[in-house]
Amino acid sequence: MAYAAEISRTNPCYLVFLIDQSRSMGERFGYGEYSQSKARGVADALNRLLQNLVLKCTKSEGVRDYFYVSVIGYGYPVEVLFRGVLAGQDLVPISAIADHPLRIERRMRRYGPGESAEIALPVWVEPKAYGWTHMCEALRWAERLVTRWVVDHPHGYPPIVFNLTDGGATDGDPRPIGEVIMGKFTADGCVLSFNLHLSTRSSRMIQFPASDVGLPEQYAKHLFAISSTLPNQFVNELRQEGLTLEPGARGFVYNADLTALIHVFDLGTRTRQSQLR
Amino acid sequence: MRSAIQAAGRPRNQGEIVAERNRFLWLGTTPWFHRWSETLEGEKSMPYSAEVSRTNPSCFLFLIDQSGSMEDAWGGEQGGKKADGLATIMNRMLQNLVLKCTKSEGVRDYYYVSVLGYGAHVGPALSGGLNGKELASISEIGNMPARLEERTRRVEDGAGGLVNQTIRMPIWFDPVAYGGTPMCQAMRAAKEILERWLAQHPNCFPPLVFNITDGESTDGDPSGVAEEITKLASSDGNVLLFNIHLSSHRVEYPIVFPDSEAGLPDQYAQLLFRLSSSLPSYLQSFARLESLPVTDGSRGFVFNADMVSVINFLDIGTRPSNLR
Repeated sequence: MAYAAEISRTNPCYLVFLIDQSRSMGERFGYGEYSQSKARGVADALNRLLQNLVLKCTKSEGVRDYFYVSVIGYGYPVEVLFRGVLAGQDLVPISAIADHPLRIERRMRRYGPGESAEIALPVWVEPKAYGWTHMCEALRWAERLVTRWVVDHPHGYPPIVFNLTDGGATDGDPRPIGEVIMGKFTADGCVLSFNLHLSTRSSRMIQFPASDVGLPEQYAKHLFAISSTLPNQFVNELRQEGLTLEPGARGFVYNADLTALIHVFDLGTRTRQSQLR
Repeated sequence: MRSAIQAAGRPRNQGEIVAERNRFLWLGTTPWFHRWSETLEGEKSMPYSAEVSRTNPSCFLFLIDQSGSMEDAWGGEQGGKKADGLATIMNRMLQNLVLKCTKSEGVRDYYYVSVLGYGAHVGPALSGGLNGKELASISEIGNMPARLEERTRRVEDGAGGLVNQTIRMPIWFDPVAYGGTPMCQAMRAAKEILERWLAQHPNCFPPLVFNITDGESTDGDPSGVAEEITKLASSDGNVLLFNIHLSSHRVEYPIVFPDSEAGLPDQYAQLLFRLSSSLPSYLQSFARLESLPVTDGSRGFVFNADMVSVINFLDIGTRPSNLR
């Protein structure tokens, strides 16, 4: 069965995050009292995810390097998004992430209608919205990272690339390089490429389609084309959560709101829990 | 009066009529003023432009296939049952309609709704307190769900994570899948309801009929009755009959709002196409807002619909052009 490799310190799991930081990411996610800018929503979701990964990997003796992470922003310039001690590092083990947040913020988390409580949220990635959408350059960087990884870890769980964007690439057609990335593999399966298109208008979200027929824009069809077919484990989990998925559903969400984005992060990393050794 | 004379000779839009009426509201003669301005104009307003209001409500009829094949999975073996999926869609659609009509003082009866099921029997299909009711006002629907079901979903929590949210979903319509597909009988029942309605509301925004089916009629060719339905009319235009065909296997793509028979996969699709009314221009506009390609010849018809297509179709179809 594919995508079933154990995750261990000798065969860690590798997550690559490509984050659109173009000007339009300063716009808000939809409307409503809780809406915020896409850049901030993405930064919060990523910081919370990294916090959860650190917790998952924390054992009595310390943080075990079950995960490695790359975070690349593509507005202007295309760059690694870690700062401080981790600045410029395009491949970071989870123990280093645990040791070097930029700072700890106190944030109000909603627990229910009208109820909030303060939590401590470490910050590694800060929101930014500047420049055009140099997605192809970011994808080429991801391809180099992923290629190096599968050479070094030919038997482990394949890397997962999350591309978060609110529009189309302005530096070319992302399909050729996206297809190269999807063609990389380990013995456990092909690299997984998930694309999340983030919405501004609160219009209909299309989650995990199996074809690009309902997608209204050309760039959305391009993103669909570079999204991997979801492995069965992911499909089953999504179905259990009540989503209707067709056979051949891809790791692509169009007009994702913040909740959907966090859900996909959760999905992409939750499954790994049972495989940690 | 001066502006009406200035405006004479060009089509008046609803906004202008409302603005003028507001200016003369103190006369307390709104209906009279309406007739007066139309006489001065000497021209009829466009069809499908009547205001929908509490004194002039409109209505939606839903004819729901409840035949045995609705037990099958939607879109091949992997999906849930068509009957279940459709029940969820209908309940959400009714909830949205209630919300659209809700103002500060409560639910305004802009619409009346009929849901008829056709399978082993043909008849009203709502459950609970509305059981057996052929036509219910939207406030009655709002006040009388059969029950509330609790669903949990996860939403973002303001700090990058997710939190469980329990929502109570009102249920009016339960899935049924048993028997044949007596579409003609269902359409005849619909026609009777429409005739009674139009007798009582001759100037209403024309009623919309949505026929949702996954297969062929087992009691004859529905073309004759369908044609009779679309000949019924209010002063604002003909009754609209829209057909939604649910896919059985997911090999083919949904065909949404086609404008010709060419390209339809088989004779049955072509039949349903011919039974479907053309989209009036206000619905074409709504469809375009959703980036759906439509032309003046586009029909209110979806073939091989998946759940998303049905949701979007019903959302567009029940959007008011003119809610007062």
